[in-house]
Amino acid sequence: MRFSRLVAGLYIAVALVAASGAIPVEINNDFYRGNTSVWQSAAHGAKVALIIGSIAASTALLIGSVLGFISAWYGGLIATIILWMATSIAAIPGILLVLILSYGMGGGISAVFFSVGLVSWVGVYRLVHAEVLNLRNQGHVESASSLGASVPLIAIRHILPCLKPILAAQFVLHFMYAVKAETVLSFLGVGVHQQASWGRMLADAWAFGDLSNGNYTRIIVASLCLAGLMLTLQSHIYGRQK
Amino acid sequence: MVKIARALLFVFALSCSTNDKLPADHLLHYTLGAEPSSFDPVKSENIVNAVMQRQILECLFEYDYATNDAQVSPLLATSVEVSDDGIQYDILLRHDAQFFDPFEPALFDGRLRALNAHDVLFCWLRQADARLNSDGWWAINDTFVGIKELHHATANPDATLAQQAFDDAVKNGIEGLQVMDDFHLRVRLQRSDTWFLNRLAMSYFSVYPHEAVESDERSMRDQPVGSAVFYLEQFVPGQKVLLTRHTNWRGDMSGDATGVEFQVVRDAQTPIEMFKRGLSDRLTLSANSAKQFLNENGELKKGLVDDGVTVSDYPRSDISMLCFNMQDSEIGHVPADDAGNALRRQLRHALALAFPREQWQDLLYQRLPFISATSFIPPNVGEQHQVYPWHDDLSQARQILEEAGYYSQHKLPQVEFVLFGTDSMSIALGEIYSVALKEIGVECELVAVPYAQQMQRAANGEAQIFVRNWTLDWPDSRLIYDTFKSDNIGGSINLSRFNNQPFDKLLDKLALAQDPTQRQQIEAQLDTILYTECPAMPIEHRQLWVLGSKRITNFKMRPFDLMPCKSYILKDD
Amino acid sequence: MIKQICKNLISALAIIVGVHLILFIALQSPTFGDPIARETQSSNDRALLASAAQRLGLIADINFAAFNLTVHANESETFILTMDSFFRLHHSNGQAIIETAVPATLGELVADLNNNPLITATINDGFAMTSSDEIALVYFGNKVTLSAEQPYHAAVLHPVSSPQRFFNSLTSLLSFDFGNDRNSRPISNTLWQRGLRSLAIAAPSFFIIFIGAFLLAVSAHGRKRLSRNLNAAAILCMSLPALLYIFIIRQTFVINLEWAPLRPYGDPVLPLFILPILITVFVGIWPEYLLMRSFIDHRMRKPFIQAARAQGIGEQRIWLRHLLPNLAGPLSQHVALNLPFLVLGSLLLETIFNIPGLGISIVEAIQNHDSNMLRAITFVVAIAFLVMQAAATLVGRYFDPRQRSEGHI
Repeated sequence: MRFSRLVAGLYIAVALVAASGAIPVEINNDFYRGNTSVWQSAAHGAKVALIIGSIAASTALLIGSVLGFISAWYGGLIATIILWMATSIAAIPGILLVLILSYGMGGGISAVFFSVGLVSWVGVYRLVHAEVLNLRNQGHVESASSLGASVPLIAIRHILPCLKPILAAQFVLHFMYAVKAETVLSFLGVGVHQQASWGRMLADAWAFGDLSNGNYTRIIVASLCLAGLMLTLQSHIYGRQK
Repeated sequence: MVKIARALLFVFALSCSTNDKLPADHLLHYTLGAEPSSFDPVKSENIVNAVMQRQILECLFEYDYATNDAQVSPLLATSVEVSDDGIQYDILLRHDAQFFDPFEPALFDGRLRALNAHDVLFCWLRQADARLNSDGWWAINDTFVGIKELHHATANPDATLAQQAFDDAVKNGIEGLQVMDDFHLRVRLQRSDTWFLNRLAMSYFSVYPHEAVESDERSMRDQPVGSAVFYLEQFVPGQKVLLTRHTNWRGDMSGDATGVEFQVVRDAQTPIEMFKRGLSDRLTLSANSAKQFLNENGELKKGLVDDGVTVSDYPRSDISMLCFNMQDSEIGHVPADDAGNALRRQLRHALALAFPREQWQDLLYQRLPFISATSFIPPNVGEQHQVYPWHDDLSQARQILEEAGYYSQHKLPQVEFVLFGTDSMSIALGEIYSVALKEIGVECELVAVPYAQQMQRAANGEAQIFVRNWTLDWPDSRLIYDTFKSDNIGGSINLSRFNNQPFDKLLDKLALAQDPTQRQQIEAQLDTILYTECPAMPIEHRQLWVLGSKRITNFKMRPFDLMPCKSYILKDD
Repeated sequence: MIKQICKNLISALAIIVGVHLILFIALQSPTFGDPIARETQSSNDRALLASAAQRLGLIADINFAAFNLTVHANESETFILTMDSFFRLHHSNGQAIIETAVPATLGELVADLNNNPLITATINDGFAMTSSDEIALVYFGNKVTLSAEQPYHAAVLHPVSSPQRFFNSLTSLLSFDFGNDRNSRPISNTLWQRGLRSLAIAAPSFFIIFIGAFLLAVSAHGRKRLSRNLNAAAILCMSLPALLYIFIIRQTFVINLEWAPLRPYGDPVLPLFILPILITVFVGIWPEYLLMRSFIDHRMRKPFIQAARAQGIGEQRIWLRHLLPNLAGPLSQHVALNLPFLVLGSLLLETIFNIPGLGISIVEAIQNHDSNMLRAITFVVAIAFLVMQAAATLVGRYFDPRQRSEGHI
């Protein structure tokens, strides 16, 4: 657990340094032949991955928890409508809908995290909905409600603390999903455009025939960076579960 | 568990038993990056369409495979007589050309019909039919007398009148295109054109039977009928196109391929591997694949030469240029602002001098050869051109800016360089220029958009600085100067939006000039204006290097004909 | 019973409408940007814009040359006509001739134009205005340069309102009329073939994954070391991107060793599917294994299993008579719910191995900016999901009597 925190910290540090502009994206004639800029691209990729993962997961959490709370708390027609939206989104394979939304938004980094967020909220909604239904009948919530506390106050003060473990796990899961989705989207051309990212590195490795030219560095570096982040996050989930 | 693993390995081994070699069927095997969208010559802009149509349909003239020049030789035509003023052409057609229809329901009895001058008339007039919005209208609109009037008449919103106009033209001809008899066409041009016969060699001027278009049950788009040696045997959209040799063809084909199989392979890597393995007979070299086939000197590796692989240069008439938007207020030409225009002219010169040619070309082409351009006109086009000192020199660029007062009195604008793709190569190329501009104190913002969007932005006047390519369809320098003609602003031709009256007047003069010396003089003046005003800077003349497999014994590329499949002689093991 | 069936059908229809609404918002509405600009890559080619608009259902009909606009002026003058939300006619020196909000009817437009002495507008004979909804548009904001004395034909487009478009689009999808792709070829023709090809890879893969994961989970149960190693392998393999496996395996077996065929799709097709199936199995087996493990472990801890053990029933019998019947319900539901997503195929595998299935169709549709194709594929997959969901409910009820009662979730 401590080790995974260390690794996570390393990723964040690299991403911050890249974001500060201290690591230029080196352009020279060895861009494809040499290995120097692969590490620089990997550093920029960390920045992009953290941005996409955190914004996508936050969006999913925000939408999912708000809608989950509203539908569980108020029920009735509004709950039916939200359930209908969620089921409709769930009826389309996630990656397909993310692809369509990203294409619709014209690609780019913002398209990636918004499209993942707009698709992923369904899972959060279901969990929050079930949990809030449970919590609504709990003593502390009932008493707060009978004392006349407003609904937002109840939501933030009494329900949200109980949801924290679920939301934390969901954040990590959707973070991982967003980073993985970025690799697929970038490979297919509707992901990150103007910046280096791990998905772009993999896409470029394919487009420029790295393997045929005997150059495995770009693929291995991008894959290891991705795997490192995924493992760190997964161990965070398993650590919490233990 | 072990049993399962064994079962999986067994299944996998089954697949290994497949022989990956090509059968000895005397068939040419090619790969295509995309499927053809149409076999109808009204949709011929797409290069894949044009290549397919060329195999199935014939034109009156073609580029001779035996020679490596830009002269056309008769194909469906047998001879041409040109009047002294260069306006009237009497074209005689061969009598033995026949259309072969392999599809159902058959259009002709016995599936064969003789080709005649009425078919030529129909096909060429169809390119002018406004209702079809043909890709070839640009190629025909300034040719025959009366063609513009026909185009206008077919644009009549009354469908009956529009059809009537077309039918009349097909029946009686137009003033500039008349059928004298079944095998004699008379053409009158709006003005003389040295390259008219070359124009007729484009796929827009292909000949096909009117029945293929008029039938309700068939469409020329998917069931093309032509007179060429190959006919379309099978078309599986998204997968393959199979052309088969017509066994009873008129018999003057130099090659011996029994057919051509095109397979659609969308990624860039598989065709390279297929060529290496002998599964494909042709491969266009890219910067990335070049290092697998060419040595450091840009020559074919010895092992490949010993294997019988050949490499051929496709003498493409092409120019790649850095363009400035002349209607941009910061770097272009503003009407009635002479002082500002003089300054901006100097700025454009500095921006051009700052362009890092060598680094750009090295990254873009790597081992592939190219011709660094010192003129807009490619070396294989027309007469020798006076060469102007287009080159890169940062210190000279700084000097120009200093003399113009940009470092002291005037503020250097931040410029925007619109890239032609969002892939890493395009961004890397953009970064090269951006870094160079920074050296002379110019801040440059890069805008990465897909290629089609870059072209659209430029056409709409929304791109400030960009690189564009222009490939000629026939070796006429006018086609390059046309990209600076003010009439062509707003479309996809004059993207730098250059509007210069003296230039336009000289260009009109060039269109009428017949004498080579006179043409050379006018072109020198045109070049001078372009150099002085600097709406664009020529970077290089791109070349296409293509590998031919050992099966093709006489592989070479010819100008303006990307795949002369009927001329290849094959040797199967 | 009938009431339940009707309820389910209404629910399914509601989801179809919901799916269609999502597609409509994403692909056919301006929510994320102009759909016509997206379809045509911001072209200003008039015919291209109009045909894209027609393909998207934004306009019902185009009359390409409804009226002539003739400009009476000197030879050297040019006029620029633009139309977006304003109808503008400017002289090339910048002087505005007319600038007016787009009039509601063609008649109003012609009257506006004729009020100006410099220009003449005529409605061509034979064009009849049939409704007040017709407006003249110069192809969505396109700029056109008019020369003096040469008539310019302006088009009339018949726009379709958003609710009408939504309804038209929904009814055509429900009747499985998917329209034409960018090359004007009917989408339905190839959709089913491509779906079958994707299924030819996905179905065997899923079957092998399911069986393999189950057997792995069974083997690992009760064996600490094996369980630990398999868990570690699963987590590690799931962390690495699928693209890495595809690249490395393809490079090794197809290119370097030449053990698998390289050729594009064509007969015989079976050998072409082997490697994609193996890759799909390798990538997909790990999450399934972890899921099976959790299913098995969860049920193994249940009191009825402990009671069976306490009664002295052997392990084999416990597995066959007590555990498997309890697993059957959730496992078959899990299978049924995942099956429709198999129809989609693997976008990555089909792209890299050049297999013309549904996955690569999606990639091509995105590259060709073909909204119709994207809509069609998404719709087909969503329908498959609904059918399978219904089947999953039935299967669940069959295996789990607790779910047969009315009013159960």
